[in-house]
Amino acid sequence: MIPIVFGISAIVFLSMRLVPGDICYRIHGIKVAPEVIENCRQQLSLDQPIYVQYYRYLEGLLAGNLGYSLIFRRPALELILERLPVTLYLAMFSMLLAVLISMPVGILAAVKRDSWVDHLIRGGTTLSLSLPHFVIALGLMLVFSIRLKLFPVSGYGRTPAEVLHHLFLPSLTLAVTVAVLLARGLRSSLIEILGEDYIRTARGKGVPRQLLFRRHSLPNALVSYVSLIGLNLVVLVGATVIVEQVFALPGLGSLMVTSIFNRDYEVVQSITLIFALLVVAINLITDLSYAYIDPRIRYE
Amino acid sequence: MNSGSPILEGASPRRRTKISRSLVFGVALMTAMIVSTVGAPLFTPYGPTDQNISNRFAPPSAAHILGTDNFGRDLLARVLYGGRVDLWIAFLATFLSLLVGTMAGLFGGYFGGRIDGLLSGLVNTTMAFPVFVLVILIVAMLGPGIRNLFVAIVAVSWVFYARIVRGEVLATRNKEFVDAAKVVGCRDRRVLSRHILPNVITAPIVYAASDAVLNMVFAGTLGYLGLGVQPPNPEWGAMVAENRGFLAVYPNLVLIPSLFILVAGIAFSLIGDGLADLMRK
Repeated sequence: MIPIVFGISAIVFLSMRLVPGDICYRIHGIKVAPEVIENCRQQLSLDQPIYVQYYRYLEGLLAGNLGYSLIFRRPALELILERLPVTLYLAMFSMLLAVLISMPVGILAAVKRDSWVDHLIRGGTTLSLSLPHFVIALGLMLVFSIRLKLFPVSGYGRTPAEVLHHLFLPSLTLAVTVAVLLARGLRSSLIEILGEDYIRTARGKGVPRQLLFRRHSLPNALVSYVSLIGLNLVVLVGATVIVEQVFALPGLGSLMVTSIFNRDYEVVQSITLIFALLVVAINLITDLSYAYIDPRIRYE
Repeated sequence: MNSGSPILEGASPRRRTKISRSLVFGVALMTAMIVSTVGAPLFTPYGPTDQNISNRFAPPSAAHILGTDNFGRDLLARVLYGGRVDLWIAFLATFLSLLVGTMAGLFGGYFGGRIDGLLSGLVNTTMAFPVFVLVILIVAMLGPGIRNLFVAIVAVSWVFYARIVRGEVLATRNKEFVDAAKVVGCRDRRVLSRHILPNVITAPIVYAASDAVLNMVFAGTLGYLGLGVQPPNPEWGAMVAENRGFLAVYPNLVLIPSLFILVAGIAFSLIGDGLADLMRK
C-alpha cells in the first residue's frame, strides 16, 4: 500500500508537467515583470531539479499543504474539506440504494432462474454499461423532476431532510448502474453455491428452506458480494464527478470541473489526489471486511 | 493429451464454434452506425454547423427529419456528423490501448526482471485512481480537445490490457511448446510473436469490445463536461450538454443524441458477447 501511495503522489505531481508552457506565465499572464515570474519560479521551486521539486511536494503534502487556489485565494485543503462531505454522502447513499435494490433482485434471480427478473438483469447489464451517467441523470430528471415534480432539479439542501431529498436522484443515477452489476454477481455466486454438496447435504437432513438460505447459502455468497461492492464503489466514486456536475451538487467533482475551467491547476491536482486516496481507503476497508464476513480469512 | 494444445482443438470437427446471433446483430448494428455517420452527407443535405436562426426548434418535418435545435441547425446532421467523433474514439483509442497494453504485457511477462517491476508498478499505481478522474486530470492538464482526449484515454486504459496480457504470458511462458521453440533455436522475438502472442491474444481482444463501450462513454462524458469536442462542432455528449437547458420544453434535443450513444453502446456490447462466445476455449 505504501508504494502505491508514493506512486499516486508521483503521478499527480508529474501531471503538472503536462501543462503546456511555463506554469508561471499561466498563473500570472504574459504581461508581467520578469521579477514576478522569477519569484513565482522560486516559490514553486521550478528552478530546482525535478527530484528536489518532488521532495518539496511530498514535504508539503505531509504538512497538509495541498496547494493554493488562485481563484478562491484560499488553501486547496480548506476548499476540499468543505466539499468532501457532499461527495461522501452521495457515494454512501448511492451504494446503500444499490445494495437495497440488488440484494432482493439478485436473490430472486438466483432462486427463480430464467424468470423475468433473471432476464431483467441480463438486459440491464448491457444497458447500464452503455448508458453514460449523464444520460441516466437527465432521464431521471426529466421524469421525476420535470414531469412528476417529485424531486428538485438541482442543488443541495441545508437540513438533513432537504439534503436527502436533493441527493435522492443523483444517488439513484449512480445506484442503478451499480445495482445491476451487484445483482448479477450475487446471482451467479448464489447459483454456484446452491449447486454445492453441502447444500445438498443440508437439504437432505431436512434443514428448512428459510434457514438453509440464511445460514448456508447467503453467508457464503456475501464474500464475493462484498468484493464486488468494493470494486464498484471505486467506479462509483469516480462517477460522482459527472453526477455532481449534472445536478449542480457542491461536492468535490463539481469543484474539480469548475477548477479545470478556471485553470486552477493545484486544486484539480489535489482533488485527484484525494480521490485516489479514497480508493486506497476503500480497498483497505474491503480487504478488512472479508475477515469479518468469512471467519476462515485472518490477517496476521 | 494436454488440452492446452491449440492444434488439436482446432482440428476436432465437433468443436467448431458457431457464430452467435448477438455477434451478427451487433456487427449489423455497428455497420449501420458507421455507414450513417461516415456517409452523413448522403443522408442529409445540411452541414452540422449550418445555422438558420429563423427556423429554431422546428419540429420533425420532411425538410428536417429530426427537427432543428436552438440555432436552427439540423439535428440529424449534427447527430450523424457528431457520431464520427464518438465512434472514432471508440475504435481508435481502444485499438491503440490494445496495442500498447499488449506489447507492455508481453515484454513484462516474458522478460520479467526490472522491466516487469517497473511496468507492474505503473499499472498498479494507475489502477489506484478512479479511471474517470485520471482521464479528466490528464485532459485538464493538457487542455480540452479531441487529440488530448485520445492521449488521456490511451494513457489510462492501456494498463488494463497490460495486466490481462501479462497474466496470460506468465501462464504460457513455461509451457512445453515455448520451451520447444527455444530449443530449436528461435530468438525471443520469434517466440514472442509466433508462439506466445497467438495464445494470449484472445483475452485482450474480448476485453477490447467492452473497453470500446467504456471509451465511447468517456468521449461522450468529457464532451458533456466541455472537455472534449469544442463548440460549435457536434459530438453526442456535447450535444446533450448544449441542449440540456431545453430539457423541459424540447426533450427530443437531449433524447436523440442519448439514444445514439445507447444504440452504439449496445452494438459494441453485443459484439463483445459474440466475440467472447466465439473465442471461448
